[in-house]
Amino acid sequence: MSDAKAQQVALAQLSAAIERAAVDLGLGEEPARFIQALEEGADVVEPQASAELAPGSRTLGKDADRPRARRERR
Amino acid sequence: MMDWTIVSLAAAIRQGKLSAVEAVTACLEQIDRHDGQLRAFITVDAEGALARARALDADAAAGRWQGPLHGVPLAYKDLCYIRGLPTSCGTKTAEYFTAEHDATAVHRLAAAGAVTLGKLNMTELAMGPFGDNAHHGHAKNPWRAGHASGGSSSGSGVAVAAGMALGALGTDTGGSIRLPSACCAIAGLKPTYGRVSRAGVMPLSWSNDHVGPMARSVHDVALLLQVIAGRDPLDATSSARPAADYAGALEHGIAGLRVAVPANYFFHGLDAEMGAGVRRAIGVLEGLGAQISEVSVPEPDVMSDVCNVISRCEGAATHTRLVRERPEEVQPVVRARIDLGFRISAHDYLQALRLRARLARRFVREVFAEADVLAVPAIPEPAPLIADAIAGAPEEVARRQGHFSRLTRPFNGFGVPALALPCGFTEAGLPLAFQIVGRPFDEATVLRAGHAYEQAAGWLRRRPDLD
Repeated sequence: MSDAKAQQVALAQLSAAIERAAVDLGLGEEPARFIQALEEGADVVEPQASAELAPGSRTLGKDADRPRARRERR
Repeated sequence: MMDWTIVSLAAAIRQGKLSAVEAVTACLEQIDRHDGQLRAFITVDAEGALARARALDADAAAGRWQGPLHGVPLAYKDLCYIRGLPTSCGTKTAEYFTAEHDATAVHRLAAAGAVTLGKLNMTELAMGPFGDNAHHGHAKNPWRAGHASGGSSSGSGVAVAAGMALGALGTDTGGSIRLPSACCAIAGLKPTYGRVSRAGVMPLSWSNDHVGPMARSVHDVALLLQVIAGRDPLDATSSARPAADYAGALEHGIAGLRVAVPANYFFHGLDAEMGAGVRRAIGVLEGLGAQISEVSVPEPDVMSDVCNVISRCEGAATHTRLVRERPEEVQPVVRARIDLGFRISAHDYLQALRLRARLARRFVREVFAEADVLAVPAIPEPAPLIADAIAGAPEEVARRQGHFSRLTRPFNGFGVPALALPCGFTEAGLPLAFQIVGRPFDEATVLRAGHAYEQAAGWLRRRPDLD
């Protein structure tokens, strides 16, 4: 396959993948929500809480009473 | 130098058992002995390093300690701007990248007492996962002759594994810290997007670029991260969130830690020895008290495509002048990657940025609802022979490159911290490696899990035979 043909194929594949995945993107979806996702997703383990964990501690366990990442609003 | 870690060397200097000059001299001797073959460095600043070491020894004699890295010799990927040293970014042009200030991460390490040995080899323009470089020589895997070092922070991986530097900085846009760490059997962390300033570092894709530490041990990585993490007014994308006590949390064990293992994507098509090694590592974590569960990671393949679209476009924008004005200077495979970026539509680029936000939210929500970290392989197979990796037409090489970085690239898109660390060796002596991935800004838990594994598994004691 020539370089130009290979590039066309790669381009078409990437474009199709984005088109498929973006078919139901909400109107309010914008790139800055990525940073928001990181900040909101970081809501649980405070530095000192992590440092205070003792061996055998269940602080990070399934039953720990801690906030979860917020649910996404569509 | 092969037996020191940053932690042990810094302690020895502090206790007067070793001087900074002795430490730097030992690194320079190691570079002299082995870098002709391994090609870890592009620039060695022997005079500057020795002068700085002498000044630090004088400070120590007078009771003045610069910080936790006093006298520790480090080296930096050759896309970190350091005044007085060339920054080629792996290109043919010695001064390809300049900045108004020294890279913030380098500046912070120096302020903590580190000594700069020089600038490290890398894949041209940080594009490519194997560590090949036609201009500066291919960085070679210290564990087995002829095999790839991993890239694009290839020299960082080789220099640390071969004892030429105690630690290094790398950058990671699709796996470029974690791939050489995995191939060279060292620890390397891609921090959360925004955790470490990128000011003074050549951008490749500003949406996906991360600066992070590479060192022999997880404890060393934690120490380096402690120094470089935090808000930087010179980088608007750096987070104001305070850094945790990364090293302080290491010794608390992982009993009860919830470790998720993906049921989809990450173990598919994996080399048998690699798969077995990573499963054994997960078994070790379980033996240390971690709770293992299975999870379905939402759409890592889509995130990989999203990252590709974003990185190609932003990379093309960054390097337009080089490719348009001096295309003959750029290796064909690198030029092909940039050319692709010129042709992706603005519509696809913007849709990819919007998709990334949605996918990242979904990833954090679904993966970390019932888990604290995720354990996945870092590379799909052991480091290939360099000759095999770069053989063939550009599209063949590009396909191989995409395959080799398929396990690291999604986490650049998700923006979460990911630590690569060794988990054994193949029968042929090549490193096996896995990643521990955490929720945003929870590097402390990622490093704690990595440290616990490292201490239990014992791979840290193994050294490459360089002779």
